[in-house]
Amino acid sequence: MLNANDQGGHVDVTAPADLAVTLAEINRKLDAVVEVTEDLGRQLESFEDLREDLVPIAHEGILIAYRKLHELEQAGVIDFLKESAGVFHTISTSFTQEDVKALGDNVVHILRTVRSLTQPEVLDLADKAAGALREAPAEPLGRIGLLRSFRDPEVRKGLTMFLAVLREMGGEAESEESAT
Amino acid sequence: MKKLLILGAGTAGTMMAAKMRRNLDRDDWEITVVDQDDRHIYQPGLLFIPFSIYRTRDVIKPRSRYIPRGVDFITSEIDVIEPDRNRVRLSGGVELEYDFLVIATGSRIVPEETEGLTEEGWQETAFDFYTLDGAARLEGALEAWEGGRLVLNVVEMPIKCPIAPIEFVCLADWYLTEKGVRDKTEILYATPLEGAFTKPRASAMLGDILDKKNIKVEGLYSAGSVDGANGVLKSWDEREISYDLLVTIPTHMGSETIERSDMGDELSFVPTNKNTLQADGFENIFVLGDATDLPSSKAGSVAHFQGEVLEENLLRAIMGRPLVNEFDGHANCFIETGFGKAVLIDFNYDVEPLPGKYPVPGVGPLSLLGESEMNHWGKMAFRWIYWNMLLKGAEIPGVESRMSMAGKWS
Repeated sequence: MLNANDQGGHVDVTAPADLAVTLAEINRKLDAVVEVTEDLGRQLESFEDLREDLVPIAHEGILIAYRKLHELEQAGVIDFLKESAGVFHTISTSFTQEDVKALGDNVVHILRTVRSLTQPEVLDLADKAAGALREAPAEPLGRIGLLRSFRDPEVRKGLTMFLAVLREMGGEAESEESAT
Repeated sequence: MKKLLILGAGTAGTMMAAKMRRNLDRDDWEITVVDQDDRHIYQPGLLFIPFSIYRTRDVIKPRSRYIPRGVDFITSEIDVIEPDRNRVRLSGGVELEYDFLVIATGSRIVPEETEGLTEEGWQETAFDFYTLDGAARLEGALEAWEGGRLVLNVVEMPIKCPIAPIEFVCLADWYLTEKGVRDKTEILYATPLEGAFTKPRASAMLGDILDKKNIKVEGLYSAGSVDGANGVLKSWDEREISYDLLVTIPTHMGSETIERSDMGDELSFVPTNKNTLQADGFENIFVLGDATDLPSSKAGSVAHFQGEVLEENLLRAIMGRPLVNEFDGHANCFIETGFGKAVLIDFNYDVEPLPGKYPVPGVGPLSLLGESEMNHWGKMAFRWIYWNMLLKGAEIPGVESRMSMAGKWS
């Protein structure tokens, strides 16, 4: 083995047999150093290749992004999004974290309700109701007029539906009370 | 010490050397790779040289740099394979014995097969771009181009990268538009296929793209001869096409070594099992990449997908276990369509290219059978993947050897 004299920097080889072993060891270590250096060189080359290929791609990508942003700005989409940000801010400050959680818990129920409300027959009914409100006489009906209306089949049909809704709402309130 | 011998240090051979060195114990297995020179060409990059997108030096690196440590690399012509003796003879007289042999000798263009092609006008008005020299010379011709009739002709199938001709005419349309001479140029694509591509749905889609670019397609055109002096291409059925500039994809053949070894078909491609990649009639010989006679595309992506199956099957063969029938002909290719866009196709033996998103279903970011800028960027980034992942036999995340229907809209 090599015994390096730290103070003088000399190497003291104690025996010829050791010299061969030592040289083999140095050779092995040099091979390892060469391998590591080669690996590092390859990695550097790989990074350089990556830079060479990615820079033009990034350049093209940025130019395309600029062009698309310009198109969106010209179409007024960016102004719309800026205004929408204010709407989102109002919504977010008007609801608590619990409200959002409750919304998440009930989202399926809400969507079902929306689906029910947007069925063609419901929308048709709403449209007719709105029309009736617009065309309703300015003067309220008298007692006789009301009694006469009860004989009208359409009024009776409407009342039946109205009562069915009231019954459903009453039943819902009752079950909530018993639950509490 | 057992011996694995790999003939060819192109895409397929280099990749297999890396995969098998990782798998086989260095104390038990010696792996040797032989190729005729130490120059590895990134072949997908040859397409870009005529249009000055890449320079020749952008596509060349030493083969030896990609041969993994622990694998011997011999630079020599391969004379002949002697499969009955499990031996390969090199041109200098050196003999190499093997226990298992991988043939990855690729394919080559043979312009001499077409009468008159390499005579008057060759490399003056008629060029190829499947060789480094051809691509560089064609760059000069396109630089000097002022207008006329540009004809791209595929002499016969099979060819390497069957979509490269379509890419060439699309890039020519873009390049000549940028140069300001597109309106003085007629571009014609003469192909032995019925349409733009081998698969009907992709052929229709690519045909539409060519149509929009005012690139005419002359289908079912089998070139028989070239009259270079008069600038006329003639087909076997006597259709004549005049040209001012002819870009030819000449006849492709397998390596001359295969021809000399009498192991190939009439085009010197090695008869190979289409699912196991074992050479027909030889238990200890496997074939990979362009050297096979398979109906799959001759493309780097195919060699990559085959490599994963061959890795498994070589190990199985070494252990005496049955081979897996796993290779399904999977190929995927970016098709440059010019003006910073490309189309991506993904298909196999049974499923033709379909529209969709790749590799993440519904997300992409790459679009299947649709033009996009992202696809073009994918194509341009592929060079790095090729040198740094594919050749080193590394797995490419999200890309499997078997084609997946995920993300495809049938």
